Formats: sequence, C-alpha cells, structure tokens
Amino acid sequence: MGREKAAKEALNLLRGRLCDPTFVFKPLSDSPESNYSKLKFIISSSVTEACNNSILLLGPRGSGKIAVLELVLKDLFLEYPDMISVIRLSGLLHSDDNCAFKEIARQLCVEHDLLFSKMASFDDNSQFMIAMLRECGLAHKTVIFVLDEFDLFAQGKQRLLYSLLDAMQSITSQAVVIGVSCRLDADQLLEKRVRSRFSHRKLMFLPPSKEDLQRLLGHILSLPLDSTLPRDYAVEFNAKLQNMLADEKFKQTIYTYMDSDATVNHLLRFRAVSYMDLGSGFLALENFKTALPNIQRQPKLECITDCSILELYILVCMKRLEVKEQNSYNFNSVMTEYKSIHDTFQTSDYYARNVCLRAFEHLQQRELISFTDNRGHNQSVEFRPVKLLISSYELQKGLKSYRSCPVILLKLMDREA
Amino acid sequence: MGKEESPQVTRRTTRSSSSTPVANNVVETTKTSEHEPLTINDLVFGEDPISLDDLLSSFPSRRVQILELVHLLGPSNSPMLPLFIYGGASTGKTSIILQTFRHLNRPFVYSSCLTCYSPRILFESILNQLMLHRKNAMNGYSSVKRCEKPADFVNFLREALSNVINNLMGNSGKLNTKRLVSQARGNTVYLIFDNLELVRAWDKSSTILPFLFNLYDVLKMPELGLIFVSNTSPDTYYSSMGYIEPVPVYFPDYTEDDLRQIFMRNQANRKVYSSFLDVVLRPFCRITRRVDELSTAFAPLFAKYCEPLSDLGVVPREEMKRRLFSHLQPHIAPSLNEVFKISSKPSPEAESNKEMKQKGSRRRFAGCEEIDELDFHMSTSAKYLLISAFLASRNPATLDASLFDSMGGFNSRKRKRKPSQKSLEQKETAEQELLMKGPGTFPLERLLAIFQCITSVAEGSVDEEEQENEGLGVQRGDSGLMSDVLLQLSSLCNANFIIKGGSCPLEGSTRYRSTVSEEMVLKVARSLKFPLSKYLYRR
Repeated sequence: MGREKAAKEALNLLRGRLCDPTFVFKPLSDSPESNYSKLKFIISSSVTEACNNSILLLGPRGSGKIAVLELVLKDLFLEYPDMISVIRLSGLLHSDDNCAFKEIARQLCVEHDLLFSKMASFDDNSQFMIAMLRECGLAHKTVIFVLDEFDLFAQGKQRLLYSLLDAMQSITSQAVVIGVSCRLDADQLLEKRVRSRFSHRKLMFLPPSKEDLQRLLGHILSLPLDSTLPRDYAVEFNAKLQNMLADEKFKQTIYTYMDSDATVNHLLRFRAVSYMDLGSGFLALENFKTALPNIQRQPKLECITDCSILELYILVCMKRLEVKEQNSYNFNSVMTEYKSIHDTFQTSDYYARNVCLRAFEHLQQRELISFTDNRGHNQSVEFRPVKLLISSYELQKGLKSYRSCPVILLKLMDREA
Repeated sequence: MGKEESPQVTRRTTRSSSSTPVANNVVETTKTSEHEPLTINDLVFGEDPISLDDLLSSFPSRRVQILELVHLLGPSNSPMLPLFIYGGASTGKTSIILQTFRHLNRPFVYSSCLTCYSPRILFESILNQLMLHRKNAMNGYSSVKRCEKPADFVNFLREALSNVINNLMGNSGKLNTKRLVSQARGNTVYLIFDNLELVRAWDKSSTILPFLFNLYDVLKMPELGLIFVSNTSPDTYYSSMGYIEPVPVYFPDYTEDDLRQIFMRNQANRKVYSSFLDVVLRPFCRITRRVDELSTAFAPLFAKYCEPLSDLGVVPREEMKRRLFSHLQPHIAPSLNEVFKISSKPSPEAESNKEMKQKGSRRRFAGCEEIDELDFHMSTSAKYLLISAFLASRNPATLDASLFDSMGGFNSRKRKRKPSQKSLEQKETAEQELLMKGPGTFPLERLLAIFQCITSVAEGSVDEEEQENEGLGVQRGDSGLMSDVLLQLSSLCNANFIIKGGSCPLEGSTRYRSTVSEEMVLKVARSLKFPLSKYLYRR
C-alpha cells in the first residue's frame, strides 16, 4: 500500500475515532472506581433484582456522560439479552408532554413490533405506557428511560417526570430512569412530589485530569497494529506519537489550552488531526501548534480589524461620548462629535452624513454596537439610542493592531485611557 | 412516492459565479412533457467538477480558508465535527463552500435561513431535498412531509438520511462511465445552513438554535456532516442553553491588495483598470472594504475615467496616467460622499440630451450633484400630506393656532430683540433635545387639521392654474378629499415617511411620527411652490 494511501486510511480512522465519544471515553472506564463501573452496577442490580431505580448523571458538557452510558448499555445488552429495552428522550425535542408521550409510545411500538398510531391522544399514550410497563414487569423485562437534557424536562408542570416516577412506584413495573444533565443542580429543579419519588442518586462526571488526558490521547491517536494498515507504518506512527506525547513543548501546548476550557479539547484534537500531513503520514507537533490559535479566537478584535477607517472613527466617537458620561446617545450625537473632531484636528476623513449612516449600519450588522431600545421600530435609525458592545480596552487593542490606523484615532483613544 | 417531476433547476447554481443552469444528467430540458425523476446524483452541485487549482484561482485571496475547509472536510467517507463558518458580509463564505463542494463532488443539502424564515419551512425544505421530492402542480406544491416540531424533524431526518446513505453506498458500487462527472462521491451527506444569524430573531429561537447546534449529537450518525454559515461570530450565539461548540472557520474581510486582485479578475482592459485602481482604491477603502459596495461605486467612475481614452487596449504611460487622473480627480470626492448610493441608469433620451449640452454644468454622475427636484413621483395631495406631517412633528402643538389662522401669522409677531445669554443657552439645549429625541408624535386629528389649513391656503393661489385640469383632487369638495387623504396616509406609512407609533393609553388614538429629513421636505415644498419657512417653527 502506498504511503499516501495508508496515510489517508489512517486519517479516516483517527477522525472517525475523534467524532465518536464512546471511543474517546473508553479508557477512563477501566478502573473499578470509575463512573462506568458504578453505573453498570446500579443498572445491572436493578435488572437482576427486578426493582426500580432512578439516577442522575451530572457534569459539564463534553465530559462523557452519554458516552459512558452508551458503553454501559452496550455491555448490558450483551450480558442480558432480551431483558432490557431502552427508551431515549431528549429535553431539546420532547420537553412538551404531548411530544414526549407520543415518542415513548412510538419507541415502545417499534421495539415490540406493534402498530403505532399517530392520531393517538395524550391520554391514550399515557395509558399505553403504563400498560406496557406492567406487561414488561410481568415478563421480567426492564425498561430503561434515558432522559437527555434532564433540566429541560423540569420546566413547566413536570407531568412526564411525575407519571414516569409514579409508574415506577408500583410493584409490577421494572423501570430505571436515568437523567443526564449539564446543570449540576438539576435535582433542585424538581417539584416536591417528583423529588419525593426520586432516589437521590447522582453520579458526577468531571473532565479528565492532565494525566488522564495524556493517556487518552495516546489511546485515541495510536493506530491499531492488526488492521488493514501496513504494520511497519503503524509501528512507526505509534513510535513517533509516543515521542511527541512525551515532549515537553507538546504538553505545554495542551495544558495552555486545557487551562482555559477543559471540555472543548475535542476541537483541538480534531483540528490538529485534520492537518496531518498526508505526504509524510505522521502527526507532528506543528499540527497541534497551528491548530491552537484557530481555536483560541478573539472575535471582537477580529471584527475591529475588519472595520474600515470610517467605522473606526464612529467607534472612537462613541467611546468619547461614553467617557463624557452621556448616558444615552444616538447617531445624531455621534455625528456632532465626529464633526467636532474634524473641526479640532482637521482630519482628511470627513464624509457626508448618509455615508456615515451606512457605516453605522455596517457596525450594527457586525454586532459591535446595538440599539438599546427593544421596542424597535418606532423611530428612525438616526434617533434610536445606541450603545457600544466592546470595551475600551478591546477597542484600544484593536486600533493598535490595525494596519495603517490613522494616528489621530490612536491619540484620541490614548487620551481617554 | 410519485417521482414524475419537471426537469431540475438547481437553486444552487444561481448562487455560483458561473451560471450554466443545465445539470449533466438532465439531457433534454426543452421537452416539458419529459419528466426525469430526481436521483441521488442531484444532490451534488451538478456542474463539471473543478480541480483544486481552479478553485484556488477563482477565489484569489482565499487560499488559506479554502485549504482549511478542504482539510476539515477531510477525505471521502471520513466523519466530521460540525463546522461554523463566519465572517463579514460579502466575504465569499457561501460561494466558497458551494464551490468547494463542486470540487469535491460530494452530495449536500443547502438551505438558507433567509428564504426558510420559520422552523417549519426550514425543516420541510431540508426533507424535500433529502427525499428527492419536487413541488409541482401534481402534488399541489406541498412538501413531502408535514413537519413542525423538532422531534418529528429528527425522526424524519434519520429515516431520510439512512435512505440516502444506502443509495450512495449502492451508487459507489456500480461505475457509470458516461455520467461519471456528476456522480456523487463518498457516503457522507452534508447539510449546509446559511444565514444562521437570522435564526436569532425568530420567535422560537431559544429552542431552535440549541437544537440545531446539538443536532449532530442527537442524531449520532457519522455519515452526516453539518456546516453552519453565519455573518456574526460564534460569541453572539451564546445563550443560557449550552451546546458543544462547532469548529470555527473565520473569513476575514479583504485587505486592499486582495481587493485589487479581485477587481482585476475578468477585466478586459487590464492595464487601464490597474492604473484606475491605483487612483481610486485607497480613498474608497477608507470608507468600506465590501466588494459589492465598491463595485457599484467603481463602475460609473471607470466609465468616467475612460472617457478621454480612444483606445482602451493601450498601455497608458506616465503622462497619460496623469492626464486621466486629473480628468477623474474632481469626480472622486463627490463620489466618495455618495458611495453607498446606487443611482438608476439614465434613460437613452437623457443620454442623448446630455451629449447635446456638453458644456452645461450638469454633472449627471452617480447622483452626485445637488438635485433640486425629487427623483420620484408623488401626487399633490400626498405632497401636502407629507408637508403637514413634517410640520406636525416639528412644531409644538400649542403654536398651531397662531401659525395657521392666517398666512404668515408667525412672521408679524417675530420679536426682534437681541437674544440674551439665557435664551441662547435655552436654544442650545432645545437643539440638543431635538437631536436626541427626534421628531415628535401627533394624533391623526391634528394632521388632518393642518392639512386642511394648508390646502385651503394653497387652493387660493393655485386656482388660476388649475382651471384646465379638472381631475385633480384639490378641486373636489371636502368629503371627497378626506377619503383620499386617509388612503394617502397609509401609502405614506408603507413608504416609511410616516411611522405609526403606539397609542396613548389615556386618549386611545394612535399617534404618528414623520421621519423625513428637512431637505426632502424643502424639495417637496419647492415643487409645490409652498412657503414652508413661514410655517416652520424656528427656536
């Protein structure tokens, strides 16, 4: 196999792994103290002992809650075939009770090969669910409800939660309710009657620590030796990878990123792997180094570099008005300030009012300024009060990094500082 | 599912720079009775695929971004995290992503949140495209599935995507040598959401935006790629509901050198245009760097620049360049002040008139001269109504009685004292207030009262001229005038000359506000020969 073809296949493999959260979090699940083992124990004990249970998985985004849950479910399916059926709901889609019950009924029908009627009413669906729970209980089959974005189900009247947890109170049903949420106080959102039926089990998921991250990266990015890839290529790739992981500079790069936001490092990995050079076929430190600034962006500074000089003038005028402690100002006041700057300093950039108005609208499109009145369209653009959406520090920094910024603007901003 | 549809006219081709609308696999487009069903290959761009070099050369200064996109999209059949492409307006985001897909020849579904302005239309448009459904007379122009809620959308989308992917895998099995150019490559389908910033203004934005960003996680299909295109940066989308961040790709605005390269593309007379750009690019870039605005400003200027040249193919030498520059020089400054205005093209009669009076001082040139007349038509009663609205907004209500009882009532009572310090200060604060607050509101009754006043005044002076013209509204009796006025009022409101404000809670009637500028009202008054200054309250 040619080197480039092998590199392409390796790249596909790595990208596939990075986009699949279950693969990413697998190595963290090996120890007996991990969340994986705890979760598996809880669910399997309710399956074997035929009892009901409820549990909440909490943790910031990207810390692997759904991934670990999927791993547990996959293993349980292998261990106890035909004894588990899973219903998956999401708070984004099914927070409305009607929708939720319809979806539960639909998934139950699909699982048990029954005909699903779209016209069934809310009462029909809830009766169906309770009946199915009873039947499954009699058949010693556990129904696992996975409620993603659990905090969104806790908005409103919480009818779904109450009916689920209430149905679990009867002896004949065997159900496990697993709530997954990013809000660490999700159980505080529950109503009193719901909370009393809820067993207060919570599993906290934390983003991987630095040592774990090393292990993770090694696991994700190492090529398997027994696949279709040529063996010597894979061996060489892994050796280079281990060298890079042990390198101090690499650790620095990763840690600077982790210090700012621990849950988003999937972006970094993905970007870096995408830049892998297909010619040589190896991951290099440079890939990670080029990927880092692409993730750490300063959007407002970028906006300012995009502005034209007239737009910069308008921004500086607004900043000066703010410094003069004018509580509310509109386009007309900005124009008087602009004129006064022109009169004082005799700048060459003095343009007509309609040109400035258009530049003002461009600034509003870029979201550097915005109108402060929400009612909106009772006044024409020139009279509506506006405010700046960037701080003076950002504005100053942006002006300094602007290519060929007029000196007068820098002088004016320095005077304000 | 009935698939007898009319020949395909892909929406995507209207947005590309080349504009041959014929797709490769629809051979006969003239026979309207021949209906070819849509196939999986219609999800591809549909024209000849281009190589990477063509792609890079057709977008002169976007090399970095294009390579970044190609890397992130990855080789065939590799999964991808969602992308978020953002940048200012008219920076080429949409055209580059579409042309990249033309180069890669992979199937995609494009939907813009500008044309799909509500969640239902957005969902149905995507499902129509995925299920290869075409709206035509036979199915009553309906979508293939009715889909309003995100829950339904996810279920239908999953079903449609698995069909499409199975089709693609079957497709890649067989080699179709004749149609190889337009055959979709790979097993991944991409969804492109354009103009995403408009979703924030929807009613359901608090549920739809997090839903769209989390769509990849919800579906968990590695054969799906999501691409979001937006005019504003990702930090403007943060809300109380979080989501996994997509991979950002930034398209910066063009620099001056980039703009020069862009404008030099496809120019017939390169040397002349290059010297033209030397002159105009720098001053115009101080105002704006957007390609669409600059190109409308440059077109008439270039025509002006080439006037002294007899042969456009000649390479201008230094003294020639200086001559052309001095010819253009007086036009640059006024054009700078009109840079955002797109004037209508003068009619051919106006052009020939212009040639006849060469030495006239009229510089009819991108609307840069002082236009004394209005350049659009309004009926007489509409003009009077506009003037009344302006007066009602500008004058305080208490002065109405003194201003409108007799002609020139205000003039005679004008005090000729020297303004004291305090009154000067008061004048300044009053001006400041006028700047800040804007024109005042007035109820409908006041507007009608002022209107009746000034038309009765004007009627007297205009009577003699209107002996011949019988059909004008001014000649009619009062009752006929009133209905005309109310109709004119609503058309003025539609034209945004008058804004309807909220109603006062005490009185209960709606209040209006006029938004025209003083110059425009002066022009209107001049066209009617109406003495506006006598009625305007000057503080």
